[in-house]
Amino acid sequence: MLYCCFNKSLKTINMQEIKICFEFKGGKGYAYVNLVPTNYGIYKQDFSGCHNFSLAEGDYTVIIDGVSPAGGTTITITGDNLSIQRKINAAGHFSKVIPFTIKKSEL
Amino acid sequence: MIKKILFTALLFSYTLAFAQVEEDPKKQIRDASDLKTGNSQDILPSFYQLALKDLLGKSHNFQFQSSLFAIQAKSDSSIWIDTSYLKKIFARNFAFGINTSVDSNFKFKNNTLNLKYAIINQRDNTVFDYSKYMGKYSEASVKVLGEAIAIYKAENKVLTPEEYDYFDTDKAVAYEKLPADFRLILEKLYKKNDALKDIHPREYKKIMANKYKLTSNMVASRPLWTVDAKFVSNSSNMFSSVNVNTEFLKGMIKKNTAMNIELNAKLSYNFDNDSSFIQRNLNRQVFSGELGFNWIILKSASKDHSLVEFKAAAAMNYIASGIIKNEEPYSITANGTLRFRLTEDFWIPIDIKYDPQNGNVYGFLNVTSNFDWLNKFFNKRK
Repeated sequence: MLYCCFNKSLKTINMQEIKICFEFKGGKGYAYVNLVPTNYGIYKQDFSGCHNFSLAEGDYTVIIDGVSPAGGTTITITGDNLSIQRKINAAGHFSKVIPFTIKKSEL
Repeated sequence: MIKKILFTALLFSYTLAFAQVEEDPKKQIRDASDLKTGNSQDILPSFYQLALKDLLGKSHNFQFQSSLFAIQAKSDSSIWIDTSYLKKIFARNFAFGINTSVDSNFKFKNNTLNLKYAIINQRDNTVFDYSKYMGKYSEASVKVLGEAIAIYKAENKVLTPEEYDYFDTDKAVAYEKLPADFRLILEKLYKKNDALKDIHPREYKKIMANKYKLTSNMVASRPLWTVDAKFVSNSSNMFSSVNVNTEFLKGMIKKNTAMNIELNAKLSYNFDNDSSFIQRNLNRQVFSGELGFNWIILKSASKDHSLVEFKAAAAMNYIASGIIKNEEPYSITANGTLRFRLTEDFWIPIDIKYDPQNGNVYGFLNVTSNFDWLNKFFNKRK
């Protein structure tokens, strides 16, 4: 019981839910994503959609590399006090490195 | 009645093409379809195609072709999203066309309705999975860069947002803008990685852009096989001809850069009106076959799309029934089409036909626009 409640309080008080979303337009695209420093590992975004992360206070970097389809790709990173958007307008290979910070006051 | 319906449909199609408000996704897909040859766009248009054929001859043709997807996208822009776009297989591969033919005095001759479907369309690079060819480099790149950032951070150093911009493909930042000690870490990690060991981090973006270009060219030369049916109605509102075709196109050189050759084969069966009968009929039946090669003579170095093409083909006709008196059942012709790309949108195809039996050479001057150039003009004036 104690274990359950301690974990729960950690999530709500010390962590923030971050969402990284991709929207591929006009065809097939892909992106490999690495969010550092975390232990989530590298994942592949094959279709439009989102991945959720629980992150504590700190500086983070999202590293993305892939191919945008012909209609472009939109990447959005959102959290409680976070909203970052990057657009790739051309078809072809793309890479992006997006740093962001989660402050203690935001948790 | 049929004439009126076809004419209305033709007018409607023109209006659709010209009234389009150009959206970014479409524009970008146009960029992708620009890689296709003029010959393949004639076989299966990506969006719209307008053509004026036989401009200097005894009759003139006004043609409109469109993919079903282009029409559907008018009312539902959400179908551009990949999860929907990839499911629209039928709409992307189905095209319809309307053709109005007039004589030299611009008097109506006939209308043609054309319905086409691509049974095999492997040259559509909008649905091609590039990760099979480029994914291992992308995966290695994000892994190595993550490790480099972690090592750098362990030394209590961080890159500034301006330095991170080096890795952004949309920004032109010199590799030397990265701190020297970070570059050293990155170069060491590249050498240790199986996928990246032969690549210098300075060259990574350029090499990936080149891999994309080569892969796109490979896709643009893959097989395309279509079937179509044409229904012709004449001035008396009657179906005067029905034509069933199948066409195959495939690039011969996989790793093409400056030029390519495409194999182009076509089979047709025509049901035409036999004029020896008083009543309307489709008794005259003609089988045609054509085998040729489309040579992409010149490509744009910057945009990588073809500028000059020449198609040479041998065609054979066999009149299976309804032969006219003194007419030969077999005939062979040598056909050629020289295509010049004037602008992004305009092609000038010149058809040349040689009849060895009669020793006659015929030439037909055409103008083809694969996209909505008028729309761009109107948008600029808004």
